[in-house]
Amino acid sequence: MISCTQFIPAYSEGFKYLHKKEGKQEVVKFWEVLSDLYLTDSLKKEVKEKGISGCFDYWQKALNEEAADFTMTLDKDKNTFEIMMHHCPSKGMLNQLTYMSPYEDYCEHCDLLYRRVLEPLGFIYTIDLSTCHKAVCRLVVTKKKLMEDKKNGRKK
Amino acid sequence: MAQKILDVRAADNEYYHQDFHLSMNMLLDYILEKYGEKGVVEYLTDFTIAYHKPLINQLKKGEIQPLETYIRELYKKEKWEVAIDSTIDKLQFSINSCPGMTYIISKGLIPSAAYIETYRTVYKSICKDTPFSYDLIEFNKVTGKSSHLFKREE
Repeated sequence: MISCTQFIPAYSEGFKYLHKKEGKQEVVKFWEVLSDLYLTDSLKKEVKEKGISGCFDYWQKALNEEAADFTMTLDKDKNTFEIMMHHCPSKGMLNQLTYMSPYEDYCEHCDLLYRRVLEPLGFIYTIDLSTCHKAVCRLVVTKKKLMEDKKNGRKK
Repeated sequence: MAQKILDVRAADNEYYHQDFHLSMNMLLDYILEKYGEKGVVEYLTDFTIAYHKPLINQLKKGEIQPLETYIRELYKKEKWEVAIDSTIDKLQFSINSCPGMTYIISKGLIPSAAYIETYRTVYKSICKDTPFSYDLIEFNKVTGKSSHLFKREE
């Protein structure tokens, strides 16, 4: 058995295997399938029911169970949600396993998986992975309409 | 209140995200569908050689005790009962059901037809080029109830 506590290295090796078979596009294809299968009954359902608050509820459960080090902010008035990840448990674990090398684009799955769910629901999803090699990243979700209103306001 | 803030440190929680069993199952199904059983075996062999390198190195020295420690810790982390019978030359362990498969079923999903390989391929690969061999004695494909034997070959 592969324990849920061993999943991250198994996941990373899975990406490497798919890349070895058919290149990066095969890894991306798997991320798309995983996003559709794994997030439909969780993140997608929460956000459809509760709007941006669903992001808070989904990640609160997931990140607590993953023992992440983070600050999460939900601003209902501004319709924004932010995760400041001070130490990602997944990338942190891969960095600690110095005898094996992680998939080089490992952190990119967090960009694709959640963007694929949130953007069709009317949100703008941004993730800054520039420091992800240190297991640090920042994710922001904003309601699309507000961004468009701001743009229109500036034009006036 | 319009603003809600949650500030959490890693030490505040235990690392135990069972939904990872679901993602693992989806990865197995994807590889099985795309590359067949051979692909699953190839992937899990690659994973085992990379991830279990420290354990494999200990087994290469002829020590079976690290394997027992590994199995105990594995099921402790999964909060699962395991029966272990070991001597200096063999180790047999049994579980009444698989924690991963049980969780997958509890979420209304079906464990991958390739799930058995997370035992068979992983343990065979751990023993490769060591003085030990591995045999899957019993495996129930519905529940994961299973029995496993490692023994010294030299």
